[in-house]
Amino acid sequence: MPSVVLITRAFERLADVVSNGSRLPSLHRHVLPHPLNPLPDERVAAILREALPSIVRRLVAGAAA
Amino acid sequence: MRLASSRAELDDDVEAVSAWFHERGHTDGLPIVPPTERRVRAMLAGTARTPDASLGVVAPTGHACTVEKLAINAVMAGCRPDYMPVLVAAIEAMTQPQWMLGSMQSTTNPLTPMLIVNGPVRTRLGIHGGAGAMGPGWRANATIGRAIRLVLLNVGGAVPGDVDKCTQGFVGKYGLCVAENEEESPWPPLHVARGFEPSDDVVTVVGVNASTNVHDSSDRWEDLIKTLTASLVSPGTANVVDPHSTPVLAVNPLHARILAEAGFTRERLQRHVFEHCRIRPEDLSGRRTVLRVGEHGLEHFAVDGMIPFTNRPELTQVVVLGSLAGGHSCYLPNGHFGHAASRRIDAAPPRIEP
Repeated sequence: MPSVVLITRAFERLADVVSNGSRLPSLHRHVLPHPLNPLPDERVAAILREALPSIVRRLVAGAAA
Repeated sequence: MRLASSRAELDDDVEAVSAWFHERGHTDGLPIVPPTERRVRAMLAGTARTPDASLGVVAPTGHACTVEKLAINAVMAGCRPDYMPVLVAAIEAMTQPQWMLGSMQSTTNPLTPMLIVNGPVRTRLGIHGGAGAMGPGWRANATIGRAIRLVLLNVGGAVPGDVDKCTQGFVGKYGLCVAENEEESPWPPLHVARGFEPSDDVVTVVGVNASTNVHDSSDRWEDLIKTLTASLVSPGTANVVDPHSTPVLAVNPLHARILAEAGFTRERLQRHVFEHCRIRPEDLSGRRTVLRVGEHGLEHFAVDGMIPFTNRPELTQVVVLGSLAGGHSCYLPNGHFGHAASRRIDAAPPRIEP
């Protein structure tokens, strides 16, 4: 199933370990800025809108692979 | 007995060996006992399990914790070989999928496994449940708890700040192991309440936050229960956002005796906590409300308009701990992960030479 994992920058190393530990080392991922938690909801939504084309590209690439 | 782990040639010197391990991220910052082959073999003699047997997969690396890997970390922590069966049972309990060890290993929440040991093994190994049981001074408590943490680091890969994203940490992450003070408890032991026989040796493992002291020197049960219940719930406490959480209420023997004389059994205390430790929905911030309710509405969890401490009374793990010296009990919240799990401890193996 085409999948993209969304993580924030602070969790990149953890994502490496989890994907390797789950035997999914080539899992597509999109890295978002960190931290998101203190941002207003509208700003988080804007960041995600900006990320969407890249996420879709990775999903489509996953489906084609 | 064949061992599979790689070897390193190092000087026979504790400082040099500790430095070598520390530089590679294999310690908790304290000196270690060098895990020489002789010491590891001696540690393995403490269990009837074979060195290559897997006790479970330790997330997030997904590496198996073999008995040999456990023994190496137990040596490093300063354990005695006869502690091995407790360690084996604890690792088996924590690596069950429903314990969600992977989430606990990487969460920003300050969680650590708390081991609560019941049964005759407590006295045999000197696992302490009396005065200062959660503090320094007790070899079995300190080294068993430390060995578990070293496994989580060295097998599970929970490097602080890197993979273990705990925001502030707390001292319990060096290790947290206690025995229940069964001798001074007015109630049947925790493991009996959880379905085991009194003669069984059992370890119960719960993922907990730091303890909150609850002080009340009153000899009136009405005052005491009021203080206890008022102290356990606040908007920021971890279990408020997880209705399935299994927080630990560690009641000192004095408080337990006062409550028992007033007719409180463990079950009645659990029910009292369930009925009185509640929070008003409007006291939860918007984002904590989302954490709590998920796809449900807040009203799904409310009872008489209030949010209970846990979903069911029996989820609060009541354990009798500490001494009769003062009016101090404590509470250790439990969040999304590491819900209480109990495991029977293997009998000690027949004495064999390593």
